[in-house]
Amino acid sequence: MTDYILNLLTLIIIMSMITLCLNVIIGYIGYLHLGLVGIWAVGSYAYALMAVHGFPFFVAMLGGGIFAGAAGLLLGLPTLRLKSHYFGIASLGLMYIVYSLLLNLTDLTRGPLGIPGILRPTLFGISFSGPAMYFVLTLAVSLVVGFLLYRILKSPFGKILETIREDEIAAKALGKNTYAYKLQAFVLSSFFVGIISALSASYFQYISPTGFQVEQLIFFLAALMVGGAGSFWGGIVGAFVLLTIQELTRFIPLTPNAVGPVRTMIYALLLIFVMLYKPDGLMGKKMKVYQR
Amino acid sequence: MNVLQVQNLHKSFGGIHAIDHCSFSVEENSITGLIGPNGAGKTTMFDLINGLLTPDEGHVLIKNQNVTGWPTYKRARLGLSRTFQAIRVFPELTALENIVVAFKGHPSKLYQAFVPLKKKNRDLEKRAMEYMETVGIADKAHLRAGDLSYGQQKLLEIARCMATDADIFLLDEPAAGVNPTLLNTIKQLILKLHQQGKTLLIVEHNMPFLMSIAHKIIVMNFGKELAIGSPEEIQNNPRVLEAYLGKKREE
Amino acid sequence: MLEILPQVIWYSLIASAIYTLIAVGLTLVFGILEFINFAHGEMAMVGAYLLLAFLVNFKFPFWLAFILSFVAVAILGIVLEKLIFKKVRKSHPFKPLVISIGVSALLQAVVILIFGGGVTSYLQTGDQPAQTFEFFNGNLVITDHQILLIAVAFVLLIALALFLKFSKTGKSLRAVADNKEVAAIMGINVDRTISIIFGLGSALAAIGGMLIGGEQNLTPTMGLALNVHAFAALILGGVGNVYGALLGALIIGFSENFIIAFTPIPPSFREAIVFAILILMLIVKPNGLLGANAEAEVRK
Repeated sequence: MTDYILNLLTLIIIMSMITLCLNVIIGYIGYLHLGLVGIWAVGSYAYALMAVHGFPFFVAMLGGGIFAGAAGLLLGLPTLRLKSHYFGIASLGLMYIVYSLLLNLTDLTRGPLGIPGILRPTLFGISFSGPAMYFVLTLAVSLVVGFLLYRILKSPFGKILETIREDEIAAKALGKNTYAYKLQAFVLSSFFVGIISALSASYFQYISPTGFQVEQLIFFLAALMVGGAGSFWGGIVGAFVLLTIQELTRFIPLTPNAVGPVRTMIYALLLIFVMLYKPDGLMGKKMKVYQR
Repeated sequence: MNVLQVQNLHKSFGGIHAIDHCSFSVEENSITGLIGPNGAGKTTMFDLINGLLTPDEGHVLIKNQNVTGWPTYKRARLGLSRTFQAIRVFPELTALENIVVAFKGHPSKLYQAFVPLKKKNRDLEKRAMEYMETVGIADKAHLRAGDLSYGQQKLLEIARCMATDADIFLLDEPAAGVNPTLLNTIKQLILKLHQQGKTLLIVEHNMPFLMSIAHKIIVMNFGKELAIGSPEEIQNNPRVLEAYLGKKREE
Repeated sequence: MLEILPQVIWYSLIASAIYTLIAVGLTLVFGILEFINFAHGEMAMVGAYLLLAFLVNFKFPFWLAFILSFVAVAILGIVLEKLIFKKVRKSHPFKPLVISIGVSALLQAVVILIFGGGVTSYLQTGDQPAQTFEFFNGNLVITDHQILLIAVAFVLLIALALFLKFSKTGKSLRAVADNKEVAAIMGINVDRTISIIFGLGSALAAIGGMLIGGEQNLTPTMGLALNVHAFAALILGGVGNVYGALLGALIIGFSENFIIAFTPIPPSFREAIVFAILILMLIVKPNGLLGANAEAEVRK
């Protein structure tokens, strides 16, 4: 039972942190980031491949961050000049492109077979493979990432990101190079998704292309909207709520094949309902972007 | 000296010439009015001057620097600021924050998230309060900007322009939809900015208001400058009357 | 290499026809409500699966199953609009877009629950193989279904063009697309017109889905993939422009099939290719090939 709760808490922390990274883009600069899962996939594969090839944990983790950040840079450079919803479409493209690459670059990614045997690390002679120790490791890394993002979002830099969400044209007219801010925020968000990818990949100990598809995107979008975009705690609360609901669905007697679609249905309904009736979410502000 | 020059500027949207080879210049430390019937291209002209739109032909010069093709933010850093016809404050930020983010010295570099800024921020807020006092909405400093009244938002927008340290102000209909008291406040504010040596280019439909402050009026019609002169000259110009009353459409 | 050319052209034409049928509804909704309806492709998917259910499970005759399917999807489109999208009609485009992603995921999940997540096909074991016609020494093989597909698409698009141009409803449709407020003042029932657009667009998409279902296998994710193609077509052709959608669909259909046929890029990169074209297009020429002035619309 304790193991079960520890595992669940670890997963909640991991998913909260990824939702937080999504929040940086959707909630703060107001850009509809639909490429999150693609970035997550790049980070996860980068970490997993480095880990199974014997790189030390933190090096592989940094590798995940750098590759994910680079993917973010590649996507953001041309597309962050577009308006939010066009950016949304273009960024969704990243998910498809990454998915196709993962399936087809079989020499590197083993294609649909995925990468098994991603071990949890042993650091300073201590094994972090048990639920308790892995929870500690996840918490420690997440606290660092969370603290850094908190500082950044609450800083003047974060304020400028908010001005972009509120009115990008006005921000430009005040002399702000909004494109540069957007790009920095996007690369930053992608980098941290990559860092967290190390935690998620070694949590599941196995990754495959099917784990990086629309279902996952719906989860993160719903989590962010339920929690409230634009509030630092929004994504974190949302991921907590959604995963709790997901655990409760275990009590519904379902055939194994029905579990996935039923979950997706729940997330989708939540997403629709929240957007229609409570677009500021549980924690969010009443923001023009989502209200008008 | 001309701090702002528009040379043979042209912009069309799908075959419609919104701005049709238009030229004029604005002298340093002057109050210049830009008038014309609806659809004459005044706001498009502002968009071209501050870089939200790129012209098809012609040049924009700010302080004798050819800025055609420059992005908006670079023009702003050269000292050009602008208010908008439809107010564009940052509604979710407080009124005070709206001004703080406009400062040139706003420590908004990414690395600055990790250096101590307490004192600097306090200084910026103090300076921002001074601007709030100048425009007379200091008591609203900590309210959400979106919760301010229309007039207060207009004042906030002007204060925000002042905070950028700009010396050229493009004001898009500052007098539209405001009550007489506020109109007077805005007038005093404009005169004060002029006294401080600033240059103002004002799009306005309220003629008595504009005529009472402007040194020079530029009349636009069908995307072109129709007449340029002192308020008296413009008021007595038959072509201007014709354009406004729409007697005869000239091509 | 060259001997496969006729076949590739034929497949490109088929793909373009399907993409056009789906893009038409997408572009009309986009022109009027200014949001990207992610759920639009699901209309094609639902249509295809309904036809499967009616044909295979209920053993209805083809014509009845066909009509029932697209009528049902038209109603689904109208209900979704009335129930959900109408509520956010005046919102920032962000909101309806995110909601439509939710609707898309919801419909996919429902279909997976009913039909399973795997691939299925109209062709059941024991069915007669399609009748084929050969041209160019067997380098071009055409099935009877493909001819039907092209014919149906062609007739529908002609009918649509005539409807938009001459009928009273078609005129009010264009008026609403041009300016909702003015249309309302002129006495056009905007709510009704928008309902018609959703119904019409959904029905066309459903027909597109059913036709492609006869060519390929059905999967629950086919709608999203089709929507991506349709969206690329509408960006290429210029938003809100029905003829632009046709041109865009031709470009997408041809470039995709030619790239897959004549380059080493594997077919599973289909969506990736289309997205690459789309992203390139958004960056280079965001107002589309026929669009007049969407520059300010797409770029900040």
